[in-house]
Amino acid sequence: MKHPFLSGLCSVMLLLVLSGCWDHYELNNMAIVSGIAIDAGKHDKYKVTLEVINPGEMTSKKLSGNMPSVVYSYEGKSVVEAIRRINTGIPRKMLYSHIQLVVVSEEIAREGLLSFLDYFESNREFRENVNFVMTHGSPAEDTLKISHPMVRVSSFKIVSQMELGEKEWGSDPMIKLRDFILAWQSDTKEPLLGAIRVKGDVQKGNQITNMRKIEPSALVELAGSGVFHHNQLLGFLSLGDTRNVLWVQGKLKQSVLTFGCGEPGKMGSYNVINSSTKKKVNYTDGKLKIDISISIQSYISFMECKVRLSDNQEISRLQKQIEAYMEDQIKGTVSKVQHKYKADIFGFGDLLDIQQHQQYNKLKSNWSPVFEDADVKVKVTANIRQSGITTDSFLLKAPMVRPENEQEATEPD
Amino acid sequence: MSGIELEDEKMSQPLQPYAKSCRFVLEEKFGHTTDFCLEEISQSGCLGIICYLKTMVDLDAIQEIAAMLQVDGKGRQFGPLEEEAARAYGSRIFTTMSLQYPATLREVMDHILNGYMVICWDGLHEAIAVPVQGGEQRAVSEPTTQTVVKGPKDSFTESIVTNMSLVRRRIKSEHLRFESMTLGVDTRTSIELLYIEGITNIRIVNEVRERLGRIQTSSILDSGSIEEFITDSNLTPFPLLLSTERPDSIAGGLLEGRTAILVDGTPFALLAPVSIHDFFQTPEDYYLHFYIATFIRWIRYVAFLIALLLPALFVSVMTYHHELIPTNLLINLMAQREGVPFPTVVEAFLMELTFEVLREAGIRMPRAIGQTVSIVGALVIGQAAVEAGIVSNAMVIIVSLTGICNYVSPSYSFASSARLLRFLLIILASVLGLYGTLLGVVIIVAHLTGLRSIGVPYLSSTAPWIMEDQDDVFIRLPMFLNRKRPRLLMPQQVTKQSWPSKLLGRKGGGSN
Amino acid sequence: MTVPAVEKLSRWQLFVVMVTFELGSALVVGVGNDSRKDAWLALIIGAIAGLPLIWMVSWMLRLYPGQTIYSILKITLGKWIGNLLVIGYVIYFLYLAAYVMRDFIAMMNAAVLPRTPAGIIGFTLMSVVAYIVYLGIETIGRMAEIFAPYMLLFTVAIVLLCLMSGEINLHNLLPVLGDGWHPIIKDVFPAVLGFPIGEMPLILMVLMAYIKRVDKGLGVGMAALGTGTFLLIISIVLQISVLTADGKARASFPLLNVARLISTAEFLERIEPLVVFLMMLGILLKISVFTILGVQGLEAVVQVPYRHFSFPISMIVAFIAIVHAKSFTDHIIKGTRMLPTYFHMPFQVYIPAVLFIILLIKHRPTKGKVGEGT
Repeated sequence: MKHPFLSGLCSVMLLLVLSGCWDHYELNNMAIVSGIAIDAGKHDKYKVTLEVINPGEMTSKKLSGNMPSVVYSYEGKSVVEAIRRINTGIPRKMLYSHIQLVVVSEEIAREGLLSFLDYFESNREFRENVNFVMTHGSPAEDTLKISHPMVRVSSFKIVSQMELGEKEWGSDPMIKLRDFILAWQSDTKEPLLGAIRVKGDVQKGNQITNMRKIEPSALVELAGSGVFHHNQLLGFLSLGDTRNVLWVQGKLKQSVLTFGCGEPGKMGSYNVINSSTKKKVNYTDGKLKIDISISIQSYISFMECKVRLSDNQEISRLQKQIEAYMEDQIKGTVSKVQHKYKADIFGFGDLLDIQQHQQYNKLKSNWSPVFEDADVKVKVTANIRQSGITTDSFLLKAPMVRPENEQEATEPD
Repeated sequence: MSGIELEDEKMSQPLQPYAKSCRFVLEEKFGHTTDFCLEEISQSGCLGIICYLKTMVDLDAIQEIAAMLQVDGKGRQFGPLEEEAARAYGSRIFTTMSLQYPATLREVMDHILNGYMVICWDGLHEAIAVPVQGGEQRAVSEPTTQTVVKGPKDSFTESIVTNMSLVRRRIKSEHLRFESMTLGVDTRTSIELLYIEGITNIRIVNEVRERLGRIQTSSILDSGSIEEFITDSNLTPFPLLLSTERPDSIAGGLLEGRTAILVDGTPFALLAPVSIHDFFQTPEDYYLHFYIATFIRWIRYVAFLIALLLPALFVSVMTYHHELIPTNLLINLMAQREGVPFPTVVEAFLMELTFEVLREAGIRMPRAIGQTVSIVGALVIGQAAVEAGIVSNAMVIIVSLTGICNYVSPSYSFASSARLLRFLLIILASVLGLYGTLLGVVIIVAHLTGLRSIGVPYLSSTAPWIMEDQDDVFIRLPMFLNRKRPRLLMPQQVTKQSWPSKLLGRKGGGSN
Repeated sequence: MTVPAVEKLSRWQLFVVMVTFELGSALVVGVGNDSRKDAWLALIIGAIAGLPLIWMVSWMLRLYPGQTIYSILKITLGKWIGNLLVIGYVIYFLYLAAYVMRDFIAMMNAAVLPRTPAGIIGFTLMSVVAYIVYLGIETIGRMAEIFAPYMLLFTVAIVLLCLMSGEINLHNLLPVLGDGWHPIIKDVFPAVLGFPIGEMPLILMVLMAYIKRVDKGLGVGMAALGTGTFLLIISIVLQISVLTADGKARASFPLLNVARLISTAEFLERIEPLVVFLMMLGILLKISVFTILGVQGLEAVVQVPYRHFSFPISMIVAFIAIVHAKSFTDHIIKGTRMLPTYFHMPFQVYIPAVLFIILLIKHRPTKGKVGEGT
C-alpha cells in the first residue's frame, strides 16, 4: 500500500456515507407534541393522550380553518407502552422535546400511580422543567381538548395561564416535573401540584366553533393545588390557600389583598408589588418552632372606607390592618396543612437539615407528627407606598343633603 | 531536456568578435519573425550590427539613438577605435544611458528579448545593450479586486518596471532591495524579490530565494504559478501566500518584515510568509479609525465562520437536533417544509450548487449584466423554487446568507477554501449531525495547526499565542500604540517607533 | 507538509494542555459522589495531596532534561525491567484513553444520538484522534491553546445561564461538613486522587521533556493543578446547587443534566447538544493526549517513530472502548472499583515513588543531601 494512512481515511469516509444515518429524521415526517395527559384507562392501566400540533394552522400563510392541534389517546399497561404504540393512530414520528405540559388526572393521583415519572426523568426527550399539573374534577384528557381563540393550542394556553396566574395573583404554584421529583427525593418535604379543571361543555369545547364565539362554551381554569404524601393525593387547597403556601415558600412576588377596612360591608384593596419571606426553624424541648416573617410592599388600589390617605396615622393604621389580615390568612393555611394533611409542603424539614443537621437526622424518619405539633409564629411587616395617581379618594366627599319632601316624579313632561 | 542543455552550453560561450557571425547566429535563432530587425552598420571597414525586437522597443527611442549614431558631433568615428573595449566605447557614445554589456550569446538574446537594442561590432568582445523598452501597456488604474473606500487607489499593472516604481515610491528607503531573476524556460519571465535590508529576517529571505531558484518550468504566466511552486504544501485548500494587487499592501507587508515577489505580466504580487490572520486584514483597516477597524475585523471573522459552517449547522439542526430550535420557529419551519420532496441535505446541496453556478456565470458574463445576474438571479430563482415547492424558504435564506458572507473575505483565494470545505461539512452534518460537523471543524483546525508558510506557523499569533502581536490581530490598536513589528516574523529591527510623547508625560503634541 | 524533526512546547501550551486535560472528562462525569454535598472539599484535599506527586515527577525529570519518563525508567532500572514497566505504562495510558472514549460514547448515545451505533461514534472520533496524534505533540499543544478559551467561556456561560434561569440554589450545599471529615477522606484516597487529580503528574511525566526550560516545569505543573481544580470546583458547586447532591449522584452526566435545565430568554432552552459538543472538545483533547503518551511509550520500546503507530493504535483504543464493558453499569463499576486500586495507585503513586527513591539514592553522593524523606 502506497499511502496507508490515506487509504485508511478513505475507507473510513466511505463507510460513513454508505452505511446510512441512524438518527436522521426529516421534519416532514415528524409531529410536535405539545401536551400529554395521563388518565386511568378503562381497559388497561393507563390511558395516555397526546396533543399534537398541526403546523400548517399555526402560520398565518396556510390557515385553512382547521384546528391547530390534534388529540389522540391510547391505552397501555405502562405509559411507555402507550406512547410507543400511539402511532396506531397518528401517522408521524412524535417529537417529545417540545412538550410544555404534563397533566395527570385526579384518579391517578389518588391511587398513587405516578411511577411513570421515572421514565420522564431518564428519557432524553422529556424535559425535567416541563410544567406538571393535575386535574380536579375532570378527566385529564379533556383539558387538552378545549380550544381558545387567543392561544390556539390548548397546552400553550394552559401554560400561559399558569405563568400569568403565578405572576399576577399567585394562584398557581408552577410546579415543574423536577420540583415534584425533588420533593419526592427529600426525606421530609411533601410534593404539591397545581390543579386545573374544565368549566363548561367539553363536547362543544373541542370544536372550531368554540373559538368563534364571544363567550366560549368551554374553558380550562386554574383550581388551586393538590397536596400529596409521597405519591398519593391527600386533598386539595383552594386558590387562596395556594397563594398563601407560595407566600410562605417565598415564591410570591405580586398579588392583591382585598378585605374589610373597618366599616361594615366596605372593602379595601391593596396591590402587593414586592414581598420577601424569611423562615427560621428551631427544634428545642421536643417541639419544632417555626418562625415565618414576611415583609411586603404595597400600594392602595381602591379604598371604600372613608380614610384620609394623606394622613400618616391613617396609613399606619391601614398597614396594621394588612398585617393582621395576612398573619391570619397565613397562619390559617399553615394550620390547615398541618392538621388536616400533616404534610410538610413548605420544606421546613429541609430547613432544619441545614440549621440543625444532627437533630434533623434523628427526626426525619418520623416527620409528620413533628410537623403537626409544630409551633408556628407568623410576623408580617407591611409597607404602603402610595395610592395610585391620586391621594384622597373622591368617595370621601359627603353627598349633598336633600330635603325629604321634595319627591318629584322623574317622568319627563 | 538534453537538447536545451546542449543548446545552453553553446549559448554560454563567449561572443565572437565578428559581427557577421553574430548576425548569422541571431538570424538563425530568431528565424524569420517579422518583429526582429537587424541592420548592418559600418565604419571604416568595421562592421557592426544593430538588432532589436520591434514589438518590445520604443520606436521613438530607436530613432533618437539612430540619430546619435549617425552624428557624432566632433566628427570622430562612431565605430570602436583600435583596442577600445566595449565599455569605453559605450560610455563614449551613449553618455547618459545605463548600458549593459552582454558577453555570451544567451545574454545577447535575453537582452534583445527584454527590449534592449544590441550593437555588436567587430573587434569587441562584448556587445552593447541600450535600454529602449517600450510597447503598449495598461495605465495605472484602480484595483479590480481589492477596492477600498478610503485609501490609495492605484494598483499594480502588468509591467514589472511600473510595479517596482510604485513600491519604490512608497518606501523611499535605501534599504529596500530588489533582486531579479528570470524564471520559465519559454517565457523567461522577470521576477523581482523584494525585501528591506535590516528588517526582514535573513533566513526568510534566503529560504524564499532558494525556493524561487529551484523552479524549473516551461512557463510562468502569473504569480499563481509561482505560488504553487514555492508553497510549503500543495495539498491544503488554504493559501499559504498572500496575493494582492495593491502597492500599499505590499509596502505594508515589506515593512512588517515579509518578502514580496513581483512577476512581470501580472498585476498580482505575492507576499510571504503570511499567517492566517493576514487574510482577514485589508490596508484600509489602517486608514480608518481603530474602533471601526476592529469592528469590521470581527465581522470578517464571523462572516468567514458563517460562510463555512452555516449550511452544515442548519442541516444538522433540522435533521438531528430538533430540540435546539425554539418551539415557535420549529412550527414555522415545519409548515414551510410541508410538501417539499427532498430531504434537507439534498435541498442544501441543490441550492448551494445552483448558487455556485450562478456565481461563476456572473463572473463570465459581460460587465453590464454580470452583477445583476448573480445576486438577483439567486434570489429570484430561489423564490421561484420555493413557489414551485422544490425547496423551503428557510433554505433560500441560508444559502443567500452563506453566499454573501463569502464575499466579505478580502482575499479571494482564502474565501475559496471556505467554499470548498463547506460541502465537506454538509456531508458530515448529514451523516452524524452536529457531532459530524464538529469533527469536521476539529479536523480543519488540526490541519491548520500543522501548516507552515515559509516555515512560519500558519496559525501564529493565536497558537502559539504571541502576546506582543495581539495589537494587530483581532483588534487594531491605534497607530501610536503599535510599536513593534510582528514577532512571528522575527524581524531584525523590532521597534517601529518609540512611546508617544503624550504617554511619557512630555509636553508636545502628536505621536512620534 | 513539513513536520519539524524536534518538537517543542511552550510553557503556556503545557499549562493549557494540562488544564484542559483535567477538565476534559471530569467536567462531564460525576466526581466525588461519595462525599455528597462536600465533594468540592474532597477535591481541594485531593489537589493538596496531588502536589507532592507533581513535585516528585518534576524533580525526576529535571535530573534528565529532555528525557521522558520512559527513558528514565530504562536508564535507571535497566533494559528488561525498564521496558516491562514502559509497556505497563503504555497499556495503562491506552486503557485510560479507551475509558474516556467509552464515557464519551455513552454520553452521546444517552443525550444526543441514541440510535447511532457505538462503533461508529468510536471509529469516527478515533480517526480524528489518529490524525491529531499523527501531526504530533506541537499540534496538541496548539489545539489546546485554541480551544481552551472556548471551554472557559462555555463554563462561565453555563454558570451565568443557570443564574439567569434561577436554578441555582446555594442552600443545597449546606450544611458544610454535616457528616464530618471521615467520608471525605475516604473518598479522596483512592478515588478522587486517581481521577482526576492524579492524571496531571502523568502528563508531566512525558510532556515535560518537550519544554525548553525544564526547571520551570514544576511551576507549570502546580499552576495547572491549581487552576484545573479551581475550575472543577466551580463545576461541582454548580452541579450540587442545581441538582442537589442526591440528584448529582444519580445522574450519569451531571453537567449535562444541569444544562438541560437552562431556560431563559424564551429561546435559550434545550441547549444541551451545544453543551455536549463543547464538552467534546475537552474530551477529544484528553483522549489525544493519552493516546500520544501511550504511543510515545511504544516508540521508547521498539524505537520506531511514534507517528507510524497513530492510526492502528487509535483503532485498537476504539475497539477496547467498546468491548471492555458490557454495559454502562459495568463500565462505571470498573471505573470506581477496579481502576483506582489496581491501576491508578500503582502507576501514579507506587512506581514513581519507587523510582524517586532509587534516583534519590543514586544521586545522593553527588548532591550531598542526607536523609530526605519521600
